[in-house]
Amino acid sequence: MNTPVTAPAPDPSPLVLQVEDLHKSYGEIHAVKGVSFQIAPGENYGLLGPNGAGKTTTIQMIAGVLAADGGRVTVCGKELTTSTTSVKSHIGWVPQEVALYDRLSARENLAFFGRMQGLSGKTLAKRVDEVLGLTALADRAGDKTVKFSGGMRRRLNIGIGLLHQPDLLILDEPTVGVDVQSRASILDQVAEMTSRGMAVLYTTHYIEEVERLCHRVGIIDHGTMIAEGTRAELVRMVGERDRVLITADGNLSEGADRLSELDGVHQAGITAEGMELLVDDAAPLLPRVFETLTRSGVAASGVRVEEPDLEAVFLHLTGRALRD
Amino acid sequence: MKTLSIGWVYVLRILREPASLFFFFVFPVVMVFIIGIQFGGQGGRVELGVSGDTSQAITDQITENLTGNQALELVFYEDDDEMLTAVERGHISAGVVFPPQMAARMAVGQPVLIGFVSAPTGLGPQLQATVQQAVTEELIPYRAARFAVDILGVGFQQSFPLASALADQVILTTVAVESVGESLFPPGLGRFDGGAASNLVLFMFLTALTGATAMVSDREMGLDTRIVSTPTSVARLISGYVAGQFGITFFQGAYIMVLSLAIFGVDWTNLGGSVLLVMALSLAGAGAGMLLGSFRLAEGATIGIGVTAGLVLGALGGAMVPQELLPDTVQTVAKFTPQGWAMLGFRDLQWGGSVLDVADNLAVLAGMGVVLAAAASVSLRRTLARPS
Repeated sequence: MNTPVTAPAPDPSPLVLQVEDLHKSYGEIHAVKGVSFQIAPGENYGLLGPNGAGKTTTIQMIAGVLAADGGRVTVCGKELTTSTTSVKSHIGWVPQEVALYDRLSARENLAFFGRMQGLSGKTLAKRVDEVLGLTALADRAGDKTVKFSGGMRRRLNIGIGLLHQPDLLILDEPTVGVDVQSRASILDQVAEMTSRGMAVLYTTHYIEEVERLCHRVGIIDHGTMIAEGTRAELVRMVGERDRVLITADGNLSEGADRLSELDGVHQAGITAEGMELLVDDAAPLLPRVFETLTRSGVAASGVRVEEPDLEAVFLHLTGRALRD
Repeated sequence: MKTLSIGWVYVLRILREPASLFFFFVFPVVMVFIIGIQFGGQGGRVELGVSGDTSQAITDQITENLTGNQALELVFYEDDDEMLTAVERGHISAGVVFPPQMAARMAVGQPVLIGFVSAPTGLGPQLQATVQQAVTEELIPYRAARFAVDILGVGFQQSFPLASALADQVILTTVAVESVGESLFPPGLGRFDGGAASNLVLFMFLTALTGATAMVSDREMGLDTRIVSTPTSVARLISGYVAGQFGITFFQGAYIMVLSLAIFGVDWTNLGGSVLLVMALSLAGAGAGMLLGSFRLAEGATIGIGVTAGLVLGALGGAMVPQELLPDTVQTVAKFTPQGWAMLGFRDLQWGGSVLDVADNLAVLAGMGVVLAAAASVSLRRTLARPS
């Protein structure tokens, strides 16, 4: 059973990120069409969409490296444009393509980007050491990054975004091409950061990453935000249902008939191991299900709940799979 | 501070590229040598070899007379054959061989044969006349003393001191030679001097332009965009690139100057002025290189355009052929090239000009650098605004 990510408690502090009616065109191509969303402190917001949906363009405008044709981006209460450099100190952008100096060591790369963020002296040295530890690269700090594996480079790529302890961390497909171990490490780091109050904007192709990490999800397609909400909200929005698989013995036919009469149960059938139900929301319904089964003379020995995933939601909303 | 950080990283990563080491350190020296040899035959001091018995008082006098000629540089050899080989191979223009006991033999009326060797082509006849005159001046007292011995019957030991004392009063008839028109090369300019100056300008600018590839590489790796995502403006980014490329180009210029001075004895005439010109040219070159790098071009195309532009601008600016030899139209065009201003500056310095005399050259070159860097900043902003 997937554990839903709990949304952070409402925070009285201002929003970390507020995106309003963002537009961007490249010639005839309208890449981003009125995208709006917001992120609170400590919230991890997932931006889902297939290639060419407008995710990277949206993210580059939020990171202040691409000028928007219309709309507004506000970070920590201050409006961001490509020329308002001071606001950028609130943002840590981790680009999709690893952007490191190959001929510089990990430490030199971190020190350089730290200086670009305005760090210096002991603060810079301390943060470089901390990030080297965080990314598990302390023992390779003096090696040129050209000698690093893909996973190490990815970790350093993320580390650079964390150097100045930004209020908003933007991660653009951070786990692409990363081995399983590095991927797990990266996801742990992201979860750790949000638990410390950092807001994260996370884009990925991997549904399971979004389901594991993100409090809320925005689905973008053809430059438009087509749906937004928590995972449960999105599932409800598109009418997808939970599947409850019960391992049981006894009068299964009687049990199935009685369960199908319960509110919230849309379908009840008999399987080789027991029974299968299709319900709106499994969690609050389960006590009544077991009570009904007992009264029907059915002995249940196990239960498994399968919640609909975001892939199904995405498919429902766009008519195509996320990685098409 | 950020500008210096960006500039330092720019320098560091280039210096850590093995291929760059050859391009920045070895290649310029090779070119100084090759082009220096080509320029060696024009306007430089003529090297005259001296060998044989040079320990005599009369040979000291003759070589002193020759040293007085500013166009000549004497090269002494201990071995006659070694000097002959040097003449044959063109290392020196001609050579003089002094026989032993010249004074003693002339005192008793024996003939003395001073050897003169030169290559079949070149400055042999002119040098022979120069040597002849230097020898003749020293023979006057010997001839006069011998005249007294042979005609008047006076002993050589008595007549020679008198003849020597009166020798300065003898009026020699010489042919006065005067050149008309302006020489392309000032008197005293070494054989490598002119070539090294043009070589310096040509390669410094080429280096600066091809340095644009580092910027293209940064953009392709997303480093430009990443830097701009920090509180660092595009203008600051460009200023860092310009600072880095300026450092490399200036270092290369200074490197060529020092090596050419140490190895080939190039006389930069006004070292301070030359260093300032190199600095100003480095700034103009760095600005031009970063403008080229700011365009949305691939690395290969950038190298091609950089080399071509460097050679064409170098030719137009007089870094290959002196501007004075170029048609008037090209000389006008040269005024729009950094190389043109740099070459005119070096020419002025070699003709004895001061830093003040090249102040306009310095100002124009520095101004070009600033304008080109500003244009690069605008261009890079536009390039980064386009989808990758």
